[in-house]
This record gives sequence, C-alpha cells and structure tokens, in this order.
Amino acid sequence: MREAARTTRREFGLRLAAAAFGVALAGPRAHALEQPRSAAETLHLLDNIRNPSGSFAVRLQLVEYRHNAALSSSTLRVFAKQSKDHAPYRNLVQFVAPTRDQGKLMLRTGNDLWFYDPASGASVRISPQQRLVGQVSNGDVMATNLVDDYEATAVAPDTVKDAAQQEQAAYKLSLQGRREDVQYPFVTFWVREKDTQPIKAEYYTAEKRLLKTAYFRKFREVLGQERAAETVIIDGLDPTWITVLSASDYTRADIADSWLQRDGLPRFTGLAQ
Amino acid sequence: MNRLVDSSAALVLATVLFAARAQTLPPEIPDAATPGTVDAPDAREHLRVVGRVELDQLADDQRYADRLDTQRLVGDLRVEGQPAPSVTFRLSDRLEWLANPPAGQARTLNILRELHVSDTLPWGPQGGLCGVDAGRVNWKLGNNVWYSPLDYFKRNASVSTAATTPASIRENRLGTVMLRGQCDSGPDVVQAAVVPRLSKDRSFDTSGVSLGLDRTNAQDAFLVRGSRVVAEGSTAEASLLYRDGEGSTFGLGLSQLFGDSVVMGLDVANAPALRDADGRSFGRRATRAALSLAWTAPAGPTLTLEWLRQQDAYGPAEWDAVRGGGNGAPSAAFISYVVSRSGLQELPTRTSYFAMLNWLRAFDNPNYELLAAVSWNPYDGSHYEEAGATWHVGASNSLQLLLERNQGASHTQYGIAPTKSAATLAWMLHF
Repeated sequence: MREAARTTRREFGLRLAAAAFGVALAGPRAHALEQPRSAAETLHLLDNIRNPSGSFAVRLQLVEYRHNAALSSSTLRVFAKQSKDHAPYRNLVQFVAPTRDQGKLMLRTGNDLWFYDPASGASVRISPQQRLVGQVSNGDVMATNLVDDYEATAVAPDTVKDAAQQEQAAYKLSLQGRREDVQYPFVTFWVREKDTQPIKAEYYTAEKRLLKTAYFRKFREVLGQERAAETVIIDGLDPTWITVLSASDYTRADIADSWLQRDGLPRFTGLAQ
Repeated sequence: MNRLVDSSAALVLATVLFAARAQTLPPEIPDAATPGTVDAPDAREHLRVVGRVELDQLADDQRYADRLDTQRLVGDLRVEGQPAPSVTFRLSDRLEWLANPPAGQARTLNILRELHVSDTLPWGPQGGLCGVDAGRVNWKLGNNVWYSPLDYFKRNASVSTAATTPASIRENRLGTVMLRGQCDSGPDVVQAAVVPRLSKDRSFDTSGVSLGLDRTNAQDAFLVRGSRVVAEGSTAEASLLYRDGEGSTFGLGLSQLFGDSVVMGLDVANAPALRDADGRSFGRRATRAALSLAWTAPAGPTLTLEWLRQQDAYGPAEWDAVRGGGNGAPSAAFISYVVSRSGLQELPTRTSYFAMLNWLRAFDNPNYELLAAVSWNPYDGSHYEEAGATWHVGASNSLQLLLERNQGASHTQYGIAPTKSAATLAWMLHF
C-alpha cells in the first residue's frame, strides 16, 4: 500500500516535471498554436514576457536624444519584487549615474511613490505625475503587470513595422486603463504573432492623443525567457525626441521587504546587492 | 479675425500632421551604445564615495553694512561602505571656506553631518527585520518642506553659511548623535531612538571646527515612533518625544495621495510651549501644525503650498505690539526673539505661509532645473523670496544662479534680516 502510494507520488512528480519542462521548452510558442487567443490571454502572455516573475534586479540605462544627438544619460538599478506569481511588483529604483544623482532612491508600491535624496536625508511622497527619470514616466522604468492596470478590450491580426523597419505578422492588442489614475488611459500593443514578443506600443491620453510610441528590439535570453533588451521611446508630438532604454545585468535578487517601505529608504545603500 | 481663425486651423492641422508623423518610425533610431554616452560605475560595490566641489561667488546686499562680496569654496563628501554582509556605515561631511567671511563668521567651517554604523539584526517580527544605527544620524521627520512640527531634530542644527534656502537648510544641517532601533512587519514600522546629552555648554562653539554637539546633543532625549500604510496612497504616523527638562511632545502625521498628481501632508504636534520675546512662556503646552498640498502639472512643474500654524507664537495684535508698530528702531528683544525662533527653526508668528514652484527638467530639457519659493508672514506682509536656475553641463558639472531677497519694512520678520538681497553664482563639480 505504502509502495503504491510512493509510486503514485513519483509518477505525479515525473508528470509535473515533464509538464514544467515542456512548458519551459515550448514557452510562448506553444500558445501560438492555440489560435485564436482572447485579448485577456494575450495580455497575460505579454506580461510574462515583459518582466521575469518573482524578484529580480536589472540595470537600466536611459539615453535621451534630440535630433539624434545625445542630450543626457542616466543609469538606474531597479530591484523588483513579487510576493507571489502574478502579484503586483514592488520596485526600488536606485540612481547610479550621473554622479550628482548617485544614491537617490525611488520606491513604488502600487500607486505609492516615495523619493529619497541622501543629500537632504528626507523621504518625500511624490505623485505618479512627477517625472524624475526623463521623458519616460516613473512607471516605464519599473516592473509592472499590465493586467493590474489595464483591461484588454480587443485583439486582432495585423502587420506592423518593427524597429528594423521589417514587416512583422502581429496581433494588435488594445488596452484600456482600469482606473482614471493610470499613466496612459489607452495603450495599443503589437505583439509578434509567433511568440507574443512585443514589437511596438502606442500610448494615448484619455482624449486619444498620442503621447509616445515605443519600439522593442534586441531580443535576448534573460532569466529563462527571450525579452527585449532595448526600448526606443519616441515622443508623440516631437519625433526627434527619443529615449533609448537599455536593460542589462538581470539577476535574481530578493531584497528584504524592509527596504520596500518609506522608513527603510534612509538605511538602504544598495551596496553589494 | 478671419486671419486668426485661419492661422489657428493651420496650427491644429500642423499639430495633427505632426502627431500622425510620430506614429511612423524615424529612419534613424539612435543606438544606446552611441559614443559619448556615460557608462555607470558598477552598482555592486562595497564602498561608494560621492562628492562635490563647489565654487561660489556671493554678492550680499546687506541691510546694516556695505555690500559684501564673498568667495566660498565647498567640499562635500559622502562615503558609504559595507564592511560585513549586514553592516554598513555612512559618513557625510561638508567643508566650507570663505575668502571674505561676514562679521562673526569663521573663515573655515566643517560640518560633520553624519557618521554612523548600521547593522541589520538576524531576527525580527514575522515577515520583517530589525536594525540598529549608532552614531550621528541626520534623521528627517515630517511631511512638509519649509516647516514640520514633527521634524524633531531640526533644532539649532543649521550651521552652514549657505543655509538660507529651504534646500540648503535641509542638506546642510547637523545630524544628532543617537542609538536608533527600527523593526518592521508588513506595512508597520516601529522606531525608537535614545539621544544622549553630550554637551553641557550653554553657548554654541563658533570656532568652525566644532562637532556641534552643543547644538544637537544638549539634552537627553528619547523618541518612539510608529508608522503604517493605512491604504494605497495613505500613510499615517504617530510619535512621542521626551526631552529632559522639557517634557513630552506628541505628534501625528498623515501623507495622502489624491489622484495621480496631488500629495497632501499634514503634521501636528502638541509640545511644551516656547517662550516669547520677554522670556515668558506662551502657556504650558502648544499645538503646532503644518498642512501642505503639492500639485504636479502635466507639463512637469510642481507647486507646493504650505499653511503653517504655531500656537506658541504671536497672534496679529501681539505681533504688532512686540515689533513696535514700525516706530523707531526695532527693539533688541524683538530681534533676539526672531533670531532665536530662526535658530530653533520654529515660527515667530501664529500663522505663516510658504509656496514653492519646482521644475526639474524645465522646458522638457533634462539639464535645466528651475525653482522659485516664497515664505510669507501674513501679519506684517514681509516675505522671503528665492529664485534659482541650475544648468547641468554634461554628466559632472553644474552651474547655478540663486537670487534671494528679504522683503519688508524695518519692523518685520524679514525686514530685520541682515541680508537685503543676495545673488550666488555657483559652479559644481560632481565626482
């Protein structure tokens, strides 16, 4: 009886491992065979690709261009933490460069944003509208689940030019903010038909005025999944105003919950993290 | 009129066409590896040294003396290290050298802002951690910019010759020597600090190389504070401070986000009352409050408005009486009262207002910062004005122009300030 139970457990374990391995091998490609997908499913797949699940750290470099000339550059280290799969991310952003900003911190938990400046020693609440990291919004440099903030309203086959000006078979995914206070009330994503990788996104105001266009490029294997290492963000009104956001040095880093709150900021140095 | 309509229509059409153009990819997307971009130092370091060398040219239009031109050289240093996995230390120091110091000020001034060791303990409450800090800690409390009754360690802590603007007062004050413990569990944080009395001096050492313990650690004190995330966008805190020889201060604070652009801060404290110009107490206890609203416009600038209330300060009629109604020279008691309130960083009148417009990335340029601020005494109409512009030149250099003015009649809070107006041009090298 005990032997039978052990065999059953082993079989269950093997099946689980096989299933997990199969999913890992097939990845998002497996979903491409299951057409048609709903808008909500596509959004979930997109979220899984955009950011690694769990807790991780990544280094972001933002270079801002006007008329193809670099105007400024900044580097951030982002610590993202999920308490469990698909839970909202909490983000701690450490300013690494330029040197005048080194050591500054920005904490985001849901809509709560705190900014800490080691020069003044004060942690102050800031509003999501306050932009501290350039043309991109604070949310653009942090790990977020789109599904928390947006409802996928439609998905349809389409073709779109990618960052290399190549035509790509894609799905056009329309998103609408669930709340009034989301940064972009309407977003349209084009995801690659074969693997749901993001190709392009357009961000709109509530009046459907184009705020930004983003192109995703330089796809690389990162923490078990191919992801875009670069995002090119083009201003909606001035197309010569471009920000290139490059992600590198992804690592699994589980920082303590204590650092992810206002009173933890003055004690966080980020050293050896 | 028709021409105006035509030109408006053309403008709208041009804007629409321009917006439509933005949806297509420009032929040249810059590559992030473009030469000339700045690469960052490795973040996974064990020692971080950050600093700034600053050269200032000050033109000070003085009220009671001739115009004074001063050159100031400043060295600002912050060192953070992690000698062991759970142990960190922080040193923050500022050295100022004045070529032509105003009367009564030292030529060289060292400000040891922080020097402390921190340890994260191997135990803590469920899902949380505990840590301790020992040494000089610059602990800022409260939710407001200009004045917060919860910022308990601000008293007498400002010594820098640059400490006139809100930003420099915050940046250049002395920390307090303390042993601080902190534990957190989920959304709750509890902190306690013991502040020892380390100086028995009644007057402050003005030698310029003083540690300033006579300013920050003149009394034994104990603080316990708890804070909690009440809901998304809402944080509350409560605190109790006991100072030897004074008694207890109770404080409550609330920080609240409205929508995606407005932040409210409310700080209230009930404390042993301070004294008036004649040395008499304003009562046994007094309530102090600060309410702030900060709104960020879609274009980027943030406007902060603060309403400040201090019960242990003069009301309108008493203020008129103590300042002598504008006849004759202001009394020594009046000047002494205003100066002492300024040192304590408390308010001289029952009501005050503060407004600040802060625009990082001014005109959508990451290299420009603009700032304008005014602090206003509604009882005598005097006010302090500040306007500043900063230009970041490359990754390491900044140029800053700062204009300040104390406006008011001769018997007013800002009208008796020694500086009538000042202009500072600063060059900063960040390393």
